[in-house]
Amino acid sequence: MNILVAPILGALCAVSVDGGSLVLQADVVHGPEGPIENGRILIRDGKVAAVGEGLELPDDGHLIELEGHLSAGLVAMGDQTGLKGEELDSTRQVMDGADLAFGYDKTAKGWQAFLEAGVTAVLLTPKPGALVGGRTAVIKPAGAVVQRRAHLHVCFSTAAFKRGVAPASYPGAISMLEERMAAPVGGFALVSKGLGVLLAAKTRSEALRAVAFAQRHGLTGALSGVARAGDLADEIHAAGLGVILPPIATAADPRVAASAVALGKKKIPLSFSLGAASRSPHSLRLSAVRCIQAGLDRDAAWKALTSGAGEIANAPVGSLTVGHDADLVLWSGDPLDLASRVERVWIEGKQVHGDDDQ
Amino acid sequence: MITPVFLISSMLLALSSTTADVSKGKDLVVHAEYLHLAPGELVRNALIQISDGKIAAVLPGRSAPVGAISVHSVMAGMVDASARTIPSNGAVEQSQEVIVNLSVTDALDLFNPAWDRLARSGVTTALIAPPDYNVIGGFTVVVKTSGAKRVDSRVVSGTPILRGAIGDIPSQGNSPAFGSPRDYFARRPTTRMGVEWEWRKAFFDAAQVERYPEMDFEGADVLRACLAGDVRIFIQAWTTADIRTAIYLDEEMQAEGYGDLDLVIDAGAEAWKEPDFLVRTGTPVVLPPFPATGRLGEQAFMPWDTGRKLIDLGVLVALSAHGETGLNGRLSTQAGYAIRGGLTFDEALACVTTNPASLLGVEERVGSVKAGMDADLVLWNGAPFSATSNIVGVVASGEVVLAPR
Repeated sequence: MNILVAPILGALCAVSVDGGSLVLQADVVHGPEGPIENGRILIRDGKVAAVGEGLELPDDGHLIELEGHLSAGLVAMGDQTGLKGEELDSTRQVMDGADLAFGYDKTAKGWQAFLEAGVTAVLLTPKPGALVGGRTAVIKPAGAVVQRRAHLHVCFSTAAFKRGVAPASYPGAISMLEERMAAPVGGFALVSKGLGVLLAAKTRSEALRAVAFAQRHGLTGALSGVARAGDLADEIHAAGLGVILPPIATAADPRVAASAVALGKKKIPLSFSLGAASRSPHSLRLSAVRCIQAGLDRDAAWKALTSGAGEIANAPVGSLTVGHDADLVLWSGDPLDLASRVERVWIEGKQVHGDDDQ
Repeated sequence: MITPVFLISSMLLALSSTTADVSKGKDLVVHAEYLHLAPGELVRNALIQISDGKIAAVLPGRSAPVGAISVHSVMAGMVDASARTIPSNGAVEQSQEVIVNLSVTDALDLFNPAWDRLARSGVTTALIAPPDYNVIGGFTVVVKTSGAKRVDSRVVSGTPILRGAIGDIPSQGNSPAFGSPRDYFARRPTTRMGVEWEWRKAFFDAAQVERYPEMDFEGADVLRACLAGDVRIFIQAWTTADIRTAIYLDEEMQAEGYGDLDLVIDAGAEAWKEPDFLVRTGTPVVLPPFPATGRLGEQAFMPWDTGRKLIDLGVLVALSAHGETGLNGRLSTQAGYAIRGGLTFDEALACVTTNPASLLGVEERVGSVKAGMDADLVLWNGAPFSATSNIVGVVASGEVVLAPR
């Protein structure tokens, strides 16, 4: 299958402009400051060089006029696609030196579905099952590693307890973490120098412990996997953490989306995890739409899919900021309208998905 | 008609120097035809004024003001010294048999709906201990069963208590090591004998540190504080053989000159069989819930008159429901069963309020209805613990958690 995918990708890349600059114009461009009617994006050397209305076409430039909405690619948080059995090292409960990036397989067949869903950046996280599962990485589907060490992944749920080895309890786990923080080496030394932490938890009481741990040590990062984190909005806000929301399906408990709304009211940075191993990458937008239906501010939901997620991922992804990689998606309409399709996708200014007959 | 009460309570509020905490209950007035201030202290037609979560004043001989909650009987919120409202998964660090430097506080799940059921059953203060899979499982925590879902605001500080178990449970699921052991289950004790050895070894090793400082180990300071009597030890011992083992442990430490353990027997169902062990060492006992079918944990047998026998011998007794909140097993019903077994009303009241409060070192704050104490009240529509009365209301830290209808 992998052998088949490569030539297809090669064919799609045929319209890329090597050397010169490319100007994309669309009905609406979702720039960093907000939507721009008939906006243009200047792309040079695979990077966003300018965003605005009526940008002049440079001499070496090539203009493509597009119908629809043009935005940064979506950022999916917390996924294990392409890791194929490499998502957790089961020999130790603390693997602070392990980099998920080394397990990333860009030839895995799942990546094309991400591009088709408009996802151009993915935060790879270890599978739950260790107290410290390793360091997360941000990658582009079937593309480059953008951020090799995004966070240290620390698990505060019962998933961190493996039968027969320490830690076997919440108090034991916290005590082990405190010991490492007291004399930090390896990944913990990076944390003490500012590397973010990804605090994985499930229940609210686990989340409270995780947030307290982060606050005790002045850590930055995000809480992940807590369906009802909204009940702890005050604590999360006080600790200055972001939140990676779990996938919210159509049949999900309404309290999960309500929880996102509570977090949004506190202006807590949000993002969505995907879990693509079991669900389609298209469901990322569904999570955001479910939150909007529950009352989350539209802008907050869009940020959670793009720039806000990029910030939580500690990587220059998810926004059309000048200087960032030109990872773009052309939508047939408003991207927060579930009826809108992904028409084309560019990674670093090269089209990797969609027709080129416009 | 409501004005006088309002005036009194606002005066009290003005006098109180404490800063108003918005999370605490609003001012509240409860009227009781019969108010049990503490065991043996009954007053009639009393008004209980509550302010900022505390009892502001108790005024006997008053009629119920319009709008106040008025019930037949009121007693203090109950204290369960062995409430066990905690998920067993992840609450005790099993990777070592003896854990003395961890606390179950870090495993509390205050979002568990069981807390609410416990509060509504009249238990307003509870000791939460690590589950019994370890020989010594670590420090316990005393918490209010209702209130904000934040650990800091719920903990009641009292005597530090270390919790462990003697008997069959700490050795269950373990196996002898064959070849190269792959996990801690192959190292832990597999028999009662092994469990007992772990207890003695822990205290013996700690005592040696006094003479040989180079033998110091993590947690030795805690074990030495136990030997010095500064940390109370709750040992679960269902059967008389296990109670005997616990007492021998204490007496051996004394005989060796290592110290004197401040011991409490938890779940001491068979304490009635050889009560002399408890009498001669002055060891209190927390009884488990009375059995519906005769036998209890570890096949221990506890007859109805266990409390009566122990109290007659001068043993301090507390009753426990082990977190059970159904009508047949809840703590108030346990007090009823104990009365059926021969206890007087006041003795039974002490066994679920003042006695457990003193075992936990929180008697200054909970367990009786006195000005300045936490406003924890159980409201009855008849005589407390009687088979024909019900708990119709519960006030915890001044908040109505079960409203009388």
